[in-house]
Amino acid sequence: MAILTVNNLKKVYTTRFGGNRVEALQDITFSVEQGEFVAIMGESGSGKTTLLNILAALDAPTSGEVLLDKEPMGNIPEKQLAAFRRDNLGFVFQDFNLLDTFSIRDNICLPLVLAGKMSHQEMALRVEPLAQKLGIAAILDKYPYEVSGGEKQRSAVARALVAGPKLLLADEPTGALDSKSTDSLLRVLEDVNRQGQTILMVTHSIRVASHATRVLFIRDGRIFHQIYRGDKKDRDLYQTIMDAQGAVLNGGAVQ
Amino acid sequence: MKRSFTLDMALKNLRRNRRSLLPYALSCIGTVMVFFIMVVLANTTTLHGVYGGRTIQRTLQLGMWVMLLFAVIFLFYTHSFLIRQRKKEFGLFNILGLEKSHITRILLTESFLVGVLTTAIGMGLGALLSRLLYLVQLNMLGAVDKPALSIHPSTWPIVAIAFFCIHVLTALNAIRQVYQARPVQLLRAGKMGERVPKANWLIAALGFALMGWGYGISFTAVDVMNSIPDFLKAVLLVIIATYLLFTSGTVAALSLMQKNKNFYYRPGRFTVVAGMRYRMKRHAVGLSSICILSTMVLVMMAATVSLFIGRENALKERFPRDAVFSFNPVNSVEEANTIESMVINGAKQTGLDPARLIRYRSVSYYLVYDQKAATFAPTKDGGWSADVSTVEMIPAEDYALATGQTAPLEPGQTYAFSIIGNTLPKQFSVAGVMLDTINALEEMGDLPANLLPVLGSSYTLVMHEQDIQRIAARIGAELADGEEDTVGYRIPDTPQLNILFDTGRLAPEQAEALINAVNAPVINYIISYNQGGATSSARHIAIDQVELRAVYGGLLFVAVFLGTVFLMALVLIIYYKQVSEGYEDQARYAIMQQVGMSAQEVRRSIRIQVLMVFFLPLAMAGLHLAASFNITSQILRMLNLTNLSQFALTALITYLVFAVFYMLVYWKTAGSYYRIVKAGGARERSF
Repeated sequence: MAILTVNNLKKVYTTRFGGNRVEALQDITFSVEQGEFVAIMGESGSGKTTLLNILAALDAPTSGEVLLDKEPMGNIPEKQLAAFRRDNLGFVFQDFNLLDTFSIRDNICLPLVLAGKMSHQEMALRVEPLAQKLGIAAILDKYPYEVSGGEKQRSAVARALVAGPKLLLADEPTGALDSKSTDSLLRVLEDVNRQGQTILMVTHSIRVASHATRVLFIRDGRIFHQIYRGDKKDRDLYQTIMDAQGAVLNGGAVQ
Repeated sequence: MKRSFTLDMALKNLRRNRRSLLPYALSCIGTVMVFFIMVVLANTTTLHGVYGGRTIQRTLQLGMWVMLLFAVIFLFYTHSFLIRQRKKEFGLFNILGLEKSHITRILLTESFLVGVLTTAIGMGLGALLSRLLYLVQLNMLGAVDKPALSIHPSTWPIVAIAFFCIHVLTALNAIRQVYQARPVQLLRAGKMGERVPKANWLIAALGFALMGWGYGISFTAVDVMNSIPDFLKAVLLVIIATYLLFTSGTVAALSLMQKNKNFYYRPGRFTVVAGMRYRMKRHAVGLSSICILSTMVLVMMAATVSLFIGRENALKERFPRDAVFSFNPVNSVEEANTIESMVINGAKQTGLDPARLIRYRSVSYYLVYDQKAATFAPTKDGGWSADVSTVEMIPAEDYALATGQTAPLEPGQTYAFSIIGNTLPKQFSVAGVMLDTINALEEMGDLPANLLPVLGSSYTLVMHEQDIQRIAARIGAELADGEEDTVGYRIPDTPQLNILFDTGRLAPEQAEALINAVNAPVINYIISYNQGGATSSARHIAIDQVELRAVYGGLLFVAVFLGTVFLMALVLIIYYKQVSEGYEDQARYAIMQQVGMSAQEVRRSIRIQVLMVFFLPLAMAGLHLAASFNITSQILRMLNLTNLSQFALTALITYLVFAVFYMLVYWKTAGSYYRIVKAGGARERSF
């Protein structure tokens, strides 16, 4: 069952005085199945950030539609968008975007508090096991400036997951991490994916993408290639992506 | 070569940073100007001649120190704001090969340039503005022939040295920060996560204690003699307490809220409480400055406006009749009779018919009152000292004659009237003569309140003539040995005759004519029987009315003037806060939206925080104003303002007007805040 369906998505930016038209997304169509871990790869300027913004309902497409759980996102009134994002989507960013005014625990609680449906005891019941799973139970009462980058990102993942979103969106989640933290974060993402969490991740790192179950390549606003993991090991997938990437760089078509 | 490089760099830096430098330079100029004007008013000789002028100046001199303290805190604060913005620049210089010693030299040069320029401009504007406003005010009062405001030569070096020191200190503080940090830290200074403000319970408690102490002084002030020093003590305590409470007290209160989880984990409060904790820490100094400035403006305006409005009442208290004459010395009843007829003649010559005439004799001394021992003792000091009281003694028969009240007083008995000062006990002594208070008088009846210039307290005692003579003899004996005081103002300690009567409304010129017509013959007559010469005091309500208007108008002028300058500083700080808040909130705004707050919710959360930040000082200033009510009214009583309900009403209206002004400034500057946040929001929205 497709949890996310993207049909003929187009995004055109015009400069302020209507001079230049930039086609950030030309014609994007794909879907993400329940329980998939999809990586979208592309160079800077390929349109992947624009795509993610539209999927996150932070930006509206010029044409085309996005369906989350069969519901077209374009139909959601502006006023309910925030609540929609809160209930259905989780976000992980490259630079963590933890609020420095909150402790790690409060950062994770934030979506729950904003929803306003739970008592603080119920919140604790959700946060504690999640923190255990992500290995951040010991730092819950610290503040973002007191913990490492890897811990910050795992906290951000916890915040993204705490409300039980249908889809986890990650934008270069390892971009600001060293290789050890990157590995541990990717393991975490794989774990939650194995437990049924659907993940859509944008990255330009082959190593990161090789942890996904499917890799989409985007260039000049189009999806021009995709690789299914099938039963490949991470290392094999890595090689396959390398080959595809190389072909892209050479400008050749990929079979 | 090297020096010119430093100068070159400094000039270039100043030019490049002019956007953030301009508000700093303006606040330097503003602070110099305010301080300069304070020093001018505190030291000018122009105020010496004014009734109560020395009291005003004594207060202003102490106020000067308060102002200096404020200047130090305020400039340190604005300067650190500037340096925070420039840390990245210093880091870059450092990385590009400038040693820290070079940066130090450049910083010092910059500080020197900015300091010299702003201090010069500030002093120039201060001199210009003080003189200009003084002239405008004199013109408004129609007193064009008065001398211009003289600026004491010591004013310039005082201000220059004070601000030189402040600029050196701020520069050293900046240099300290540059030296302590590594270049990379400097580069990233703007981005570093801020430590969570820890609640410092000790300092919060200290703040509460100091505020309690200051408020306590105000609440319990009954002793008018000490009210001015007490007032300043209370002001200092409350200033320090305000800084402590804004820095620590608020953080402590917020962390208590966070500990109460049922309260804290709610949509409307969660982000507000956590955000406030950081905000208060960051803005505590600025906010307490706003609070203190506001309180100063409020107290000053309320007091002086009350005085100005209440001046007619004060006048009535000092003039039970339109004209009040005193002649000295007058010993016998015959002399008194002759003088009375001469006064009536003089009045008739000027075409006036004296009505409701009363006359009585009195003797006045400057004595030191010891409250514990309940004794008045003679002093060789003059009258210009706060612990000296003026004691006027009136023979019982004269009192009876003048007021129509029968006053059968035996020797050793007295009616005590305390005009300004402590209520006298049942039993007390004057120069060793014991007196029993038969009656503590509330009203002076037709007798004017003590007419002598008063700084400390003032009493009128009605007693048997024998006692007065005994007291006079003892004081005379005590003061005779030892040298005379040459500095202070001495009053003749011989009996004087007071004659009061109504003339109807007169123009000041007519009143002058009356005084001249009465004075000349009486003085000639007194000289004919007294080799020591004669003194007379002749006053008319029409003349005092003009003078009082000038004095209270002068006070009002000082207050309106300082108030205006304080308000300018206030607007500047609020603007500063709004802009810095805006930059701080940009990123937060974006993140909160990404984790599922609607733009509206974010705006509401931030608006509540910003409102609390800005209206906390206003609320606190109201509290301070209310707390200062008692002690301020004590001081006003010395200036003959006794109508407390009028003062309370004036204070309330002043506060309301001020609050409206404050809100206007807030809404005006809030625009720039939202512009900054929005601009940032639009950029940060896309990731």
